[in-house]
Amino acid sequence: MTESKLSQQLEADSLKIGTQVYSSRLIVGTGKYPSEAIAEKAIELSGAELVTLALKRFDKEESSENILRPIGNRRLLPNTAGVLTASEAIRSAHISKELFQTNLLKLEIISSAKNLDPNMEETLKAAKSLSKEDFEIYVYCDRNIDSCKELEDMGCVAIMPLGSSIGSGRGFDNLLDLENLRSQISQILIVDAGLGVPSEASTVMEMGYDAVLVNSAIAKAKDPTKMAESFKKGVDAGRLAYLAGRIPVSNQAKASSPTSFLK
Amino acid sequence: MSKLTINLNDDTVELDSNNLSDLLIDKAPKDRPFAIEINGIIVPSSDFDNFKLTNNDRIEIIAAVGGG
Repeated sequence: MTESKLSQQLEADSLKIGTQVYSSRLIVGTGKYPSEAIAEKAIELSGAELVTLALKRFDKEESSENILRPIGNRRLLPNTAGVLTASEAIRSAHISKELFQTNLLKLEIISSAKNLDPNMEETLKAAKSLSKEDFEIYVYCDRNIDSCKELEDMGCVAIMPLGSSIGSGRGFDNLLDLENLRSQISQILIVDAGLGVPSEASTVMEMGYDAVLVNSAIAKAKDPTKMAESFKKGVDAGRLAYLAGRIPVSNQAKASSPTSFLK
Repeated sequence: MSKLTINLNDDTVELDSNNLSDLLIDKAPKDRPFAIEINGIIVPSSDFDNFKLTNNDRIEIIAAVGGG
């Protein structure tokens, strides 16, 4: 397939999450980049149309960089990072809505400042409350089918299980869990956290995941701009392979050439 | 008027004016949007110009940073 046919096929395959439609299936974070200029270039090469960002108290002395500059006019997905409880997450959500004038929200409640895995009890509590407002909730969560189903039932627009610990670059702690989730959750599924290389993004896209969210693997790479481009290709390749349909896996050889010579 | 003592992002600050807008001129970012919380309540940006501070108000100035 030529490069242009490939891009045409992927363009036609848009991703609808809540009220939003995207042509890119790679969502990128904006933390940890070595500079604004590198962040800008990497975000551009990633092709991402949706980017995450966080909230912090403003300190005039230390806040010389403006993360909104490299983001440009892309859509914003503010996160509730750093919160440990549902009430803090709800507060963060309301501040984000006022600050960014968006109802898109990445709900993320961690277990502790050291263990960044999701605190599901608090996440479910916050999701229940925020889903009664007009937020479109993209929720960072564990790989437990029951909690993911509960979040789906609450109306979260995207369920985002972690591949492995945030920022670890470990890829998947349990690929089978992710595969099982895909077979049981019909809502938008996005792998969030832990991916290290594009082949891991491809793997989950081949499984039918709708998108992936990547931050550290790009921002902390030796060359973030090249890594951003490679993740874009990995996501596109995985999605195209999913659409193409994998052949059934067999335990026996099945010849693709004649099995006897000149007969 | 006498000086006003407020808490700004966990620091005690003395102010000559009780206008929120005066505080923001000095302390808020100029190049990006920000949000203001006073005593745990978000103040809409449309209210900044007319908002009056009182003694011991707890004020948070919040802006965007990079995040995943």
